[in-house]
Amino acid sequence: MRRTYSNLLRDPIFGLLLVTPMLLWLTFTLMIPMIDAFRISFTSVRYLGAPGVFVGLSNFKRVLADPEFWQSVVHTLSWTVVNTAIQFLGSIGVAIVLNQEFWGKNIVRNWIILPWVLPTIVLAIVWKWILDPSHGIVNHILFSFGLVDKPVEFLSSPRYALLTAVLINCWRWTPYFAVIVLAALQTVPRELYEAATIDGASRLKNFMHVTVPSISSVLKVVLLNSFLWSANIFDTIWLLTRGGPLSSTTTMPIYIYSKAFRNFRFGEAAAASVLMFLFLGVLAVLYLTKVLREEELK
Amino acid sequence: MRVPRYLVVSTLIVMVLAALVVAAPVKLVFWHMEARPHRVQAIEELCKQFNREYPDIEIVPQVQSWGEIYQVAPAAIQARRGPDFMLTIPDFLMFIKNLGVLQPVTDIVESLKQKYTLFDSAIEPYHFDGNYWAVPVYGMTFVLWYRKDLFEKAGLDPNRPPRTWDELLDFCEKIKKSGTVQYPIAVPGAVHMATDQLIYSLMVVNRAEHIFGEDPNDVIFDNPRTVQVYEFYKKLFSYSPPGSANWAWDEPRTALFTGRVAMVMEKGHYIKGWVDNTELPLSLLGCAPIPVPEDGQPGAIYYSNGLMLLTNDPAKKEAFAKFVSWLYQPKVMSKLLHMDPGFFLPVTKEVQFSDEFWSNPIIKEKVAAVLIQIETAKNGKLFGFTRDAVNKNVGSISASNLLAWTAQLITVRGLNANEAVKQGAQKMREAIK
Repeated sequence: MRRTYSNLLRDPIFGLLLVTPMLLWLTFTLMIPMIDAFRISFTSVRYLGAPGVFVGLSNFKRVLADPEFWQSVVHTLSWTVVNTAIQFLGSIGVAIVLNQEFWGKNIVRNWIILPWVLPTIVLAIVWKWILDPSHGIVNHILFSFGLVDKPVEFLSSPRYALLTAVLINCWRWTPYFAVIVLAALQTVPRELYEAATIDGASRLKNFMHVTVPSISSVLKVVLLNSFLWSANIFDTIWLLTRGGPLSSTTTMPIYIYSKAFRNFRFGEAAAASVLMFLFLGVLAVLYLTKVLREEELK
Repeated sequence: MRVPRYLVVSTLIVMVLAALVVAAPVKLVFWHMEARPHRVQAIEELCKQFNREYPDIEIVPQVQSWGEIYQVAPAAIQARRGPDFMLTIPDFLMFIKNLGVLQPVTDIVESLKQKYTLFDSAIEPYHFDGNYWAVPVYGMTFVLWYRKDLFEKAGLDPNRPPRTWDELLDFCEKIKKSGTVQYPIAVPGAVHMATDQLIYSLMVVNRAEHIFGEDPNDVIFDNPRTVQVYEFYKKLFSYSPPGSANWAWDEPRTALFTGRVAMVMEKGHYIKGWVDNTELPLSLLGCAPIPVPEDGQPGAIYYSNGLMLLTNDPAKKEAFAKFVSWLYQPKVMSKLLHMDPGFFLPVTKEVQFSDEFWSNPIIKEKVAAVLIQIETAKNGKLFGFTRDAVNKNVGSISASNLLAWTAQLITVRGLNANEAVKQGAQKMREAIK
């Protein structure tokens, strides 16, 4: 019986059967919409559901000639790179602190995920009020300490809006990644640190030569997820600034949404989506290829 | 001759089924976007009342949200899960018309016109291509709301609100100098419908209401009168609290209700909002028409919400006509308008002069404010719908909030009004292409 079960597990057809439901699910929820978006990108559809004619590459040409598209690409790059850097480094820092022994450790570990648990709409409203130039507590504190002589327009000035949105997003997502890194840190055997310390390794060397290699696979996943998720974030930015003021926080997802549902140019929105998909897809494939090659070399 | 038993039984079954089909009420799914709980409840109660009075028809109300309706409605219609009729505003109607499911309701409107006097400003935006495309049910417009207590503190007569643009700026200056509040007026500045509506109200009073020429593809937004409007908006904006460039509907309202500003220009939902959210007497909330420039005209943005029919099933169309005809009775319509007293305005003379409409305690207390809105509504306009011919892509201008976008070129980027309006017009031309 045991042998039969073991054989069954090795049978590729059985394996295929097991993954079929998920493949079907992905086909219906991901592949078909993606193929349809690809099809729409070659048509003149203005409204969802309205008919359109084949227009070849003209949607792509129009999107690529739109300065707002390129502005959104620059914003997406800055948004993604800064978010990824802060979330990645921040999550490691927070995880290391949480991995130490201190009073109230369990309480902090539980409460730290609160920003991630909060619905986006709640955090957007809360932060909008906290940062409001006339009613917000942050400006009140800055005034009280004489740090500013006029209110700082965190979300309504093109100068600060993107950075503010980045910091709010990091505040939300860093704890989530920190919990993942913390789980990885707890799997590192204590003996490795003890042996390294006996060999005279400093704390930094311990970290660089023991901690990082031990949790590197988790860190790679964190890095990839943080990058892809950040690039795709729509709700936080939309609820905080709706891409404004004057497109200063318009990233590619906001640009695509605006094209589809505010300008009613579905064809162009689909073309921009295809471009974004290619951009992120290529990056993800390159990264995964590199990571897998490293794993193979190991 | 003996009839076979199976024939008798099957005939009976067919007859019972036929009777059931005949007896089954005509079901109409009704989508509305009045998502606030008290409005949802009021609409549900009205539909229940109708269903009781007309057992052969069943109206099933379903709540949607204005925020997502541009995405939800086309998807549902495409999937053949859309409603039989739904609430609309003129530019959303144009959007739905492009999907090819909208049915003309000319015969229904004509029959209502024989019985009731419909206000032109309410029905005209729904009349184009030789047909009526929706039945208006209630309207809404813009007025100036102000705090009488703060006016008094600032040494101003609380019963003499500003009437002209110059007076409005003068009042702002006086309130600011008096130290009563730091910021006299709250002006929304986000790229949002709230900013669009305020700017268009200023355009109406400055006789700059036409965005299109006689040809609906000819954008005439860049004209000296529109430039004057944006210059005035810029001045008003300088009296608004910092951060107003990100303000839409809620922030100005909160600022007025908490006494941080003395004036806001907005729609009539401030009346119930005041009752629900402040402990202050309603008498402190002053109301006045939108101030007018020297050679201007009275008015503001005004649009009616209407019901549009999305099914071509004759039985459903007949049921819809019955429902609308029932709804138009002054006592029934008053009930609908009372779901947010002082906000939803009558679209017929009969309702306006009915005892039922004025019987609501909140409306009774704010008679003057409601009358000011009704008068404003008569001169009200809606952008893109001021001429006989309508641009079928006008929804692209309103959904992109291009009036507000133009305002941000001034308030955020620091352009002068002339240059901003030029860029705004260019953006509009691109939007309707």
